[in-house]
Amino acid sequence: MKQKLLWLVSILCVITLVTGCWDDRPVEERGLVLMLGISPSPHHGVTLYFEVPTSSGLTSLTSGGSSSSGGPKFVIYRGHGATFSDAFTDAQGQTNEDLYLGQTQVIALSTRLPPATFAVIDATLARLGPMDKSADAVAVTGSMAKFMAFSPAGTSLPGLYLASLFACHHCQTAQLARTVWSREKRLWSPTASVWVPKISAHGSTFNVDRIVVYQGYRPVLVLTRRQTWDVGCLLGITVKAPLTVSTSYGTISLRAVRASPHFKTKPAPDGKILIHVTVHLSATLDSVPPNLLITTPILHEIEARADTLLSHRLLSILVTLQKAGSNPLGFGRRYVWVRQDFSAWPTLYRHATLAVTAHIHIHQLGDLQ
Amino acid sequence: MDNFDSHSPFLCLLIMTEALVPSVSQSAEYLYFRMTGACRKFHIVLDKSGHSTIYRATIGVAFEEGTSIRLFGKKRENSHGPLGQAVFPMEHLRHVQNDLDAPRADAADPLRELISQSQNLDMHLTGLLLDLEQVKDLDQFTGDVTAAYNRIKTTVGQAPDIILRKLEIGTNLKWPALIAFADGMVDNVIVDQDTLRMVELYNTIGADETDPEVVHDRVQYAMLTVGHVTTENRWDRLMDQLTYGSTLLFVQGASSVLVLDSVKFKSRAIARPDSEPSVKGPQEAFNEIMLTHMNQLRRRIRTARLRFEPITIGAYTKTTVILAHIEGLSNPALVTALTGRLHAIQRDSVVQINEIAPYLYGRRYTIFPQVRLTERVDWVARDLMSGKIAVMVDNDPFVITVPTTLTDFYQTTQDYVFSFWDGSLVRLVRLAGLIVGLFLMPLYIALTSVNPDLVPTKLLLTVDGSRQGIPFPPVSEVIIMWLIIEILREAANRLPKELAVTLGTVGAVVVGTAIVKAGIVDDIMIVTVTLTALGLFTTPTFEMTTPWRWLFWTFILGAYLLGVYGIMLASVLVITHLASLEEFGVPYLTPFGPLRRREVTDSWIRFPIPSFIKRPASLRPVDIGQAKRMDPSDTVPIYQGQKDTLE
Repeated sequence: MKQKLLWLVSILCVITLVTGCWDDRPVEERGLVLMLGISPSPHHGVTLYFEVPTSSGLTSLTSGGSSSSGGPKFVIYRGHGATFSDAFTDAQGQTNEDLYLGQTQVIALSTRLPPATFAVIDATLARLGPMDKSADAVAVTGSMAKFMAFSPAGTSLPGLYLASLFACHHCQTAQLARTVWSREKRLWSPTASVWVPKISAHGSTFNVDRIVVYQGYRPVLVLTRRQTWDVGCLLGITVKAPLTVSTSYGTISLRAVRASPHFKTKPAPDGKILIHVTVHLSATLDSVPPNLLITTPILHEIEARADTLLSHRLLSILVTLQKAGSNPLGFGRRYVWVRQDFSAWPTLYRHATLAVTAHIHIHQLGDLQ
Repeated sequence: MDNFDSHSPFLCLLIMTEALVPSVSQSAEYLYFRMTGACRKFHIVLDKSGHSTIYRATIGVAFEEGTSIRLFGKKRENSHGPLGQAVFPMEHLRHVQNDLDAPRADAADPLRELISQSQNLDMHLTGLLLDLEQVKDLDQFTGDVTAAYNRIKTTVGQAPDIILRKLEIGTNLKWPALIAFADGMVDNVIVDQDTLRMVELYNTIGADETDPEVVHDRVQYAMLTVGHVTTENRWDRLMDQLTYGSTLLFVQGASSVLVLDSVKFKSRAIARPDSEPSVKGPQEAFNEIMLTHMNQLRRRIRTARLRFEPITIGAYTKTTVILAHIEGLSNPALVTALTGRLHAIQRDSVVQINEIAPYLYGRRYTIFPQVRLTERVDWVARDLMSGKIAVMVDNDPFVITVPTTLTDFYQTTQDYVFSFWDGSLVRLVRLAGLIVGLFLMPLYIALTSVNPDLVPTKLLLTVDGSRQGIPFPPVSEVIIMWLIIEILREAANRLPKELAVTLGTVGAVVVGTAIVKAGIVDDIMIVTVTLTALGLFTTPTFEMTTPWRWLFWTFILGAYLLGVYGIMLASVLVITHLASLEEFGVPYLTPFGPLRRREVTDSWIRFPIPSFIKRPASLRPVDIGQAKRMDPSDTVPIYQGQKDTLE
């Protein structure tokens, strides 16, 4: 009996001691932040934007999205402050709900954030307990206020829309989703650079077909759509990428290009390092000139032309990235780990010799004979 | 306390009379006797008209086994005179009755009752005195039919269902005899035709027969046409036989009494097992008659090794408890242990099987049932064949089988009457039902209140949307809804079946819809609580639902305080407790803790029956193999009588 009593008391003590775990607050009392926008404010401060669904927005989801009840579906709380915490407190003061970051789906980072401010914010985000590290990180080049206020047609909650977009692997030309976790991981890597998709409001919808590459915390390049597709090939994340090849038979277009890259980094005889990227691609023949009968030799010629074209384009974007000092592909990771010489890598990368070999294989002819 | 020893019960009456005399009331306040442990007390309060004197006496009769009478009572220092100075008690009582009848008849009811009781006592003591004079043993039939009549009439014979009839044996002999039986518990055909008619009309015995033993033997062997006749002369056993339905035939002068097996209870017909229904397979349940229990089992297990070991429990009820097992198959150590535990039970009464169930296992305060109750005959037969032991209690249609494990409570006959695919499916459904019933609501609380970050966003937004405007937190909603469910459940149990259906409709439709529309709980909570209730209702045995209904609140508390971590903590505690349970050497979590792979094939899943070639090793049966070929010469014929019974 005495032992049982002791056991019971011990259990009660344990429960009491772990009261720090008590976080019982019903979900309806929480303001679920679906999208968090971070942009600079004057005097090296920061402005945070919190997209929180309203009761109207929530009930419209419950009724299958068919509710036509009036009122905004979400509200944006904006907080200013010298630090992340100041801005958060400022925003919290504007609502009677507990701003909850555990369900944040998208974190929008302004490209205008000074590297120093970005670094501080990033450290804060890494330490936020309830912060959902699986949220998607996006870059916004324009006004963050306008971006946060934008609601694409056919949807009530932009944060949810973007989360669905990034979660769907077949809904984009390339899988551009970058989670907060993977971004943080790259920031701490001595070789790899951060890249995140650039997002902008275009007409009545979002436009997500470009990426922003960083050097450390500083954005260095906003790639064009074609450059983004090329980087996608090098990263192996293309899904629906197109490719147009000019041949002696006319213009041939390929679609559904998927890439499988791998690279080697090794010292060259001239003291530099050689980075050789080999990309194996597969594609579907999309359109050919009329009356062109596709035969095996013709197919091989098309593939050879595509190989040449792709090799040049991929090498071009690699050189561009090299000049910008950004290394989104993560070259040299094994090289520096083997040699344990992390500090020399930026110099080595800047002077590295780059080479690209592309091999494309057209494995489907569509409906063509 | 002074003790008096005497050889005459008459002295008792004298002492009692003293207590009624005013002058003696100061000397003897309490006088009582003890008779074979059963003490009778009379509080006598006399309020004679015109006198304000109140006389009190507590009297009793007590005879220990043997011939000596032991009297003891309490008296004061100034005790008055010798004990034999009083008048005969009945005369005194008659005087008192006359006095009371005349002036105040309305106030004399207690006194009349006293007089009636005293008259009975007088008759009883007279009978005892006669017996005592004959054999010097008050617990033995002396051969005097009149004394026997008085003795029965003044004790158990006061009840209207005890029939006493004096008769004469033989048309020529006319030998005095007495027949006694309990009306309603005997077969009237046996009493009327096989006994009374045969005894009274018997005419082949001469009128000059004088030896009572000869008459006794002629009655037993020549006159009676009753199948089972024994003799007995101990009064305590005779009384037990009488109250149990036997017919007693007293022959004047004989040294023993004929006990005729005329037992025929008014019993309930064999019905379907309502608490354990099965779509197909045997549909026979036990009833309240122990003999029927044994017959039903014998019909299924036609081996002479089927043993029924009777044990009588209950000082007053003398309830028959039968331990059924198959010799040479079940573990003898198990039988010995169970027999010892049953013999150790000390209770006044056992009226239902659940009163002895807690004596069969050591962990009496555990919330989990340690024995399974079943009313299905086929299930008990199956358990016996697997090496278990059945405990049956007279007057209870449910039978206990031991040892029992957790998975036993989730197995039914229906699992075996269809293919093993069906058996495995329904068992897995029950397991899923248990998990849903236990964890769905706690998870709802944990995920909506403590750990919303673990919920997919769209689902959480849906839940959040449904909870807009709800005034209560989820835990309060759970309490409200669970109370409603329990109230509906209890109400449905108390109502007739027809009304229970209506109640279900009212509960599900009216209350469910109305409570959502009223905004007291959200609609997702209705879905959750419905699934929880349905999940727990999948438990096939009723006794196993109670622990989960209690432990459900442990999980709720854990979820409310610590979220998912709290649920895991509570789960670990429950599993730890389950792992600690063990009865008769069989762990409660068998076959999973410890793991017995062969027995897993008949646990939460069921393999084809031909794969069960051995009995559960956890039961340690003597004969573990169960895939034997029957000896062709060992066939058992199907009797015509069996067909009639079945019809």
